[in-house]
Amino acid sequence: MSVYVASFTSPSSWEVIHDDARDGGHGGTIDPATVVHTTSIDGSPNANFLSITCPVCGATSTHPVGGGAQPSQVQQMFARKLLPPNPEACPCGNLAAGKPTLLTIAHLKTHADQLDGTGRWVVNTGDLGL
Amino acid sequence: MPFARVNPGDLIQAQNLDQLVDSLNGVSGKGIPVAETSVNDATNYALSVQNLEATNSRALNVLKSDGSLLIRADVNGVSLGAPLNPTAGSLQGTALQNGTVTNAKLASDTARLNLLTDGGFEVWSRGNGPFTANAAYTADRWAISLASSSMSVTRDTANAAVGSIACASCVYTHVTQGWLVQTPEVSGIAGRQVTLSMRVKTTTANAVRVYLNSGLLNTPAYSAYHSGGGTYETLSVSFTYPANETTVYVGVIFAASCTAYIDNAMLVVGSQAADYAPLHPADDLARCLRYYELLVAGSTSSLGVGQAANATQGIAYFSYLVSKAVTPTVTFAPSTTMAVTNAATTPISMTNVSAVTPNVRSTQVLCTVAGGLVAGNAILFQAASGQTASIGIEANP
Repeated sequence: MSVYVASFTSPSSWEVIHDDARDGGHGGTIDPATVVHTTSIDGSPNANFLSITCPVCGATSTHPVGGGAQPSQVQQMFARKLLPPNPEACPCGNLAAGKPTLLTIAHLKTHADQLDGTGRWVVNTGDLGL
Repeated sequence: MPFARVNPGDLIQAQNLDQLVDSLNGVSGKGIPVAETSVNDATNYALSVQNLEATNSRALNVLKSDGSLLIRADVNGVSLGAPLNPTAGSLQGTALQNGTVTNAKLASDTARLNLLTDGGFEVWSRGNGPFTANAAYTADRWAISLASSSMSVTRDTANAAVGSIACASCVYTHVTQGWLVQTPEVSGIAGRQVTLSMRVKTTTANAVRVYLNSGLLNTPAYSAYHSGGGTYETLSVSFTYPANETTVYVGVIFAASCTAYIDNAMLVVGSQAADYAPLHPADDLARCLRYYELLVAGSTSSLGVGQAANATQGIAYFSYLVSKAVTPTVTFAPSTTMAVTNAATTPISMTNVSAVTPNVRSTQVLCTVAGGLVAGNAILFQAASGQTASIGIEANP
């Protein structure tokens, strides 16, 4: 599948699985801060994509805000990057850090709709435990 | 009772004539079978019946002993009782009115379009398994779904159904229900009745059945259970999806610990199940590639071409074999397995690799090296010497 967050264990540690690794799959933990928006050649970040690196083998997955290989887990990852306890502003410039949860989800849903069409976003506040 | 023959010179008694009259009037017990078997006339029909009454033209009415219809001929045509037993091959296609054979009349061996991806379990893009994790994809679009049970799914060629190369071998240990499920894209299914059929083999009775469910309604429909007879049985179930359906669930549901072999699934529009009709291998693979593809490149094999932006970075272009259902996740093997070439076509090991703005057809690849590139020069994005590089593209709608 990909390198993805299987469990958002704590604000400082996420459990990662790399399930189609050559050894049949492995996993580990990462610092959520290492999950970053991808950058273009000019260094500008792209709000629609997050990059995550396998802590075991170094493979890298670039996930779209629509969810790509893992819609629910990937969308949660996008949401948690912008929500407390370590809220970031959306790189698109249209959502400041620390905005309410519903507004943040609605904002990300807009990104997902633009990328993959309506109906793609599946995560709600309940999925985030909020 | 038989009619009494009257010989020449005999007197005709009233009862002789009355029996004829009663017979023609339908009085019970007065008639005898009429057998016009010895007519020898090349011009005229042995029996012709015509009712000159113009409105109904009621010519013939043949009934069973209980009064139900056998044959009726009148102004409405010829009506026949059931069952109808035409001689084999006697009905020509032209006898049928065009456009009147409905889906409900089709036998299962009438080949129809399969709405599933990898319905035959022939393509295993992620390898032969075993696959055990919850939500893990096994044979391409077929995924494991577990709550607390466990299941191991592997590609199996020894137990495949007749005419099939491989099937899914599922070793299931039951706690609560478990599933092997596919979620086809809803377009084409929403608003329609569809029927699923799958070939299943197990020696455990009441352990395996197939099902269809709606993410919107969550009212699953189930087939009967496999008997546990140890041979392949076809299990089937139908479901009508609402027009605004969001998620279609298709698959096998496990209700008891068992080993089951799953093969040849068909999902067709209509109320009638269809026997598995294989796709051409190219079409079978192309469907799978819509959701997952893995490019593996051996030492120095090319992955893409691009252009250096500065001394340490270049942008390469990588096109997928098949457009994806949605924007995919792109996964690169470690950057140490990849390289880009400099102006002298000498490979330079990469220190970082990432996808830039992937879309459903292609992605740009940001290639980072320690140095040695020249802005504006072409670069070749390739597997590093002695390494095997891989790029996985996966889109699961």
